[in-house]
Amino acid sequence: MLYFGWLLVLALLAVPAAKRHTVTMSAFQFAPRDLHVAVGDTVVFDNRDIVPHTATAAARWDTGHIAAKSTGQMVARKKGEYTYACLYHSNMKGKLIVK
Amino acid sequence: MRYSLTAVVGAGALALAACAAAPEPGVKAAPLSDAEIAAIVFAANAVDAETGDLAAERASNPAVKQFGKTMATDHRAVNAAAGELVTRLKVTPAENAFSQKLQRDGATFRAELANKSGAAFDRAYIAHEVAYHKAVIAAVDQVLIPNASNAELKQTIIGVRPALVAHLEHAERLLAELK
Repeated sequence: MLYFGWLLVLALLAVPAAKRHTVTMSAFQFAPRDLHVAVGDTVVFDNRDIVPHTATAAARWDTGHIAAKSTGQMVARKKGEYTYACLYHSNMKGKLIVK
Repeated sequence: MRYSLTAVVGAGALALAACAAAPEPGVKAAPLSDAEIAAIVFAANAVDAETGDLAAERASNPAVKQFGKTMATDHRAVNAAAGELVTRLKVTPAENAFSQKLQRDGATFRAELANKSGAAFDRAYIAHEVAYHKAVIAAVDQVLIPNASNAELKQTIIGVRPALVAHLEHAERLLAELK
């Protein structure tokens, strides 16, 4: 029983812990513009502007409306490269690379 | 270099860019006060928010309709932030010839726009938004920022500039799609 307990501990240690990353939305730009994350990681979008934004990868994922001076987030579920934009300000663009 | 309010008003709201870049020779300089700048900021944002309301209600193209909603939201947000600032600074916005002209021209344009419909409405609105944002950006760069005395007011206007540029780029892209 103890043996299996240790196996479980080792297995858990082998799985990298999910990380939190932050993308700021400031002066109508995403920063960093390109972000590399792992499957399972969380990306927090921190809107520091005085207007609402979104981070939206069409038909893939969408933070929805993020009010001024607040945050939204998404969890990277699937590997791939996702270009995303603000639905309200389409010149605001970013890229999320999920490995 | 600072430019006079007289020169700004003389050329009309949407000719502001050209006027600010080349003020009439011989016009006596009369720098804008912070109170006058505040009134211009409020008027410029209120006018575009109200025009945005009309577009959100009447535009036929969904992207134009969304753009109108965004203009209404964003320009009201700017005015809310500006309102908090001037309250804190104890600056009372002072209506002036330019802020009043902005309001008059805005009302005139909305009346013209209200007589249009369908694709003609959409094109007229977006073409106006391109011209309006170009003029306002020029005013910000060449009139409002150089004349603002209070550092916080100046910084607030500088901080709003990226929003105006984003709106302009968005409107230009929409206009290209509508043609």
